Amino acid sequence: MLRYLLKRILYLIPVIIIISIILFAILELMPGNQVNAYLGIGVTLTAEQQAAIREKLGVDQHVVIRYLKWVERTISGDFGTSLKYRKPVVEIISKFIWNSFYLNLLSMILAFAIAIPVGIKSAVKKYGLFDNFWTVFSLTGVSMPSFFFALVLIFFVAVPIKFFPLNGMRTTINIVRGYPTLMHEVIDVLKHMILPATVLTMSSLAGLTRYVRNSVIEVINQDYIRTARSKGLKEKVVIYKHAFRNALLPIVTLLGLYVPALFGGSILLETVFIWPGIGNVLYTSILDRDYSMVMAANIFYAVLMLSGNLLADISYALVDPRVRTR
Amino acid sequence: MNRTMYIIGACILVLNVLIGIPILLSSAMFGENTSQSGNDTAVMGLFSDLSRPYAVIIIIIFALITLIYVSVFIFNRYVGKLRPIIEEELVTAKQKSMGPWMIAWLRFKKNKIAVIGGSLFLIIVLSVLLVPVISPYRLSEFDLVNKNLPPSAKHLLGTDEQGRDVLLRLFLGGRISISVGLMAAGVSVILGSIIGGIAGYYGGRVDNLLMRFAEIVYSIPFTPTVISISAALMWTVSSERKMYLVMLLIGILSWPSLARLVRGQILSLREQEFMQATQVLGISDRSKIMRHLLPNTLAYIIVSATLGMAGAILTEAGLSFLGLGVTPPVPTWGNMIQRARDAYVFRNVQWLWIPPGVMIMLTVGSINLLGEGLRDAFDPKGIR
Repeated sequence: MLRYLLKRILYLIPVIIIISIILFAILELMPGNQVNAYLGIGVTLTAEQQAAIREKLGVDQHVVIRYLKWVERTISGDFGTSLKYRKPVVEIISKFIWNSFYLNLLSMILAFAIAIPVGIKSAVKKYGLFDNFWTVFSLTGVSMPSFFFALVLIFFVAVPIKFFPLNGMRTTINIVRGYPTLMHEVIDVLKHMILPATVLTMSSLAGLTRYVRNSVIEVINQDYIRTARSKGLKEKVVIYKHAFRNALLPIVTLLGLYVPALFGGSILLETVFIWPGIGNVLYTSILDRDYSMVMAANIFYAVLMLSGNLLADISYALVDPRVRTR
Repeated sequence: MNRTMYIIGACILVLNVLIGIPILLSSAMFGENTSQSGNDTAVMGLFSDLSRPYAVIIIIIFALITLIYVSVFIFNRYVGKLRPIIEEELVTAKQKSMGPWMIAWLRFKKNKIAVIGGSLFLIIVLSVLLVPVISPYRLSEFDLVNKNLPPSAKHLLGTDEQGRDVLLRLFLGGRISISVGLMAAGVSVILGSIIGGIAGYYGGRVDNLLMRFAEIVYSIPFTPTVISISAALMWTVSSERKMYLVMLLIGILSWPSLARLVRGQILSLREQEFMQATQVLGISDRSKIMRHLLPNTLAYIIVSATLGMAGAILTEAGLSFLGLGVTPPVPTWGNMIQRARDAYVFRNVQWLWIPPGVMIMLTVGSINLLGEGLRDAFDPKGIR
């Protein structure tokens, strides 16, 4: 097990190196230069001043040298300084990451809490009314672009009903004045979360219910379930004690994939709801040509994705004894 | 003639009535003063509008097809029974040992949802191809006097902020969106099946190397990477070329899952007797892979292509919505919804952004239905 784990972790290294090379090369193709991005629009400088800034940012060297320097700095934990915020990138990411985390946590809890009972029930009564309803539901969920659903929600819910905030994470006046108590802050943020969390839950619910349903159906068709039934066990015991426990296996794997995604945040949704999360930061830094920010955010996403895959494999090995012995 | 044909025929008829006739009428009534001859430089040659005389021919062909369908329908219904019962067909299929394709087709026909999905998709493709042809408007004409008009008889879906007909843009955009989806799925299918085929056939070191490579591509985070790359190339690639860029990007990043699937299949197929026969016959490796192994995995490839296409349409829409995919003046559903980012348009000019969203939903939904149906049809576990 330990050897397997070590192998998997070692295997991540070339992947990250290749991703970083691709990204570095592509950012190199980006038009415009870093000096302009650093200064912002409308500032003119003499040639000497520009050269000084260029030297300060280190953009006057060859690409390969710069890449190697970037690797060196990154390994020592320094992801560079954001050109826009003029702060270390790590600081900015660690600040915005929690906004994404809260939103994703809420919608993930909701999605699993709904999907598991729904999936079991529609598996038990396959092709019944309940099952068909959720089949159609998940089909619409999969086919509807999440950003369009978000726009529709804002238009038909948030605009007519004044209770729902249109976007953002906090009420503007409270950002300036601060909150009287923590309770007020929690309620305000939760209120802003309702719509984005609905969209996020919907989009993960669609796949999740199908997944739970199919894995329960697969288990129900097996012989030991028939044995349990013919022993005269109650249907509830058969389903929840015998079937569901074994159907849980693939679901746990899925959970492993979801945990890192908690920090990811959806770029499309966060830009629609102007949610100050990590996806929104990546999007604005792309538009602002904030090189070190884009690099760091992409590496961050790659690490998240890889650790998700790793976690899924590990949790599978932990739950299923057959995999462990291999 | 069978039930599928009925449904397709009925759908074409409905399409004719719903879309064709109002447009023909409106073009007859209002077409005179609005239509001017203009060159559509914005949309490339591949997608440029056919000139008006063709429209007439196409409509006539369309009407003829409809007529044939209707007459066959009436004949079957009231005169003779041409339609065999599908259940019986399936049983005889087993007895006669029909090919896997025949059985799959029969099962697909039996699957009502899949047939509905398939015919809905067919309708969308047909209307996307034909509506711009019979529309009295052209993409390049704009009319600032009549901007932001609500839907009316003259403009069925209103006009946009430059006075262009939204219906025309919607269907022209559909051409681009669907072809991006098709091509992206095509790129991913070609790469995935060839790489998976080679890896599965040769095995050993080649397999190891290719599958490691596939895993690396698989673990590249899709959305952030695509967004970063297309943002980096945003200013260097022209608006028309961006379409191809987006296709390639989506295709190149999404082949590994298919490659894995194909490889797994070929690993087991390789051990079967017919492969020993090819060995004896001395067939070259290339034709062993291309003619004997890959066709056996075709079911998986087709299902994966269908579902991949749905995914690619959604990805393109998302990218264009962010302004990083296909950019105006070339219309796509994604960049039409992007207009909703303007607060005024969002609140007051809903006919600009709701129809493309609904179209995406219908298209992707119908492709998903089709894909699920195909998966069931090809499922070797037997008749459900």
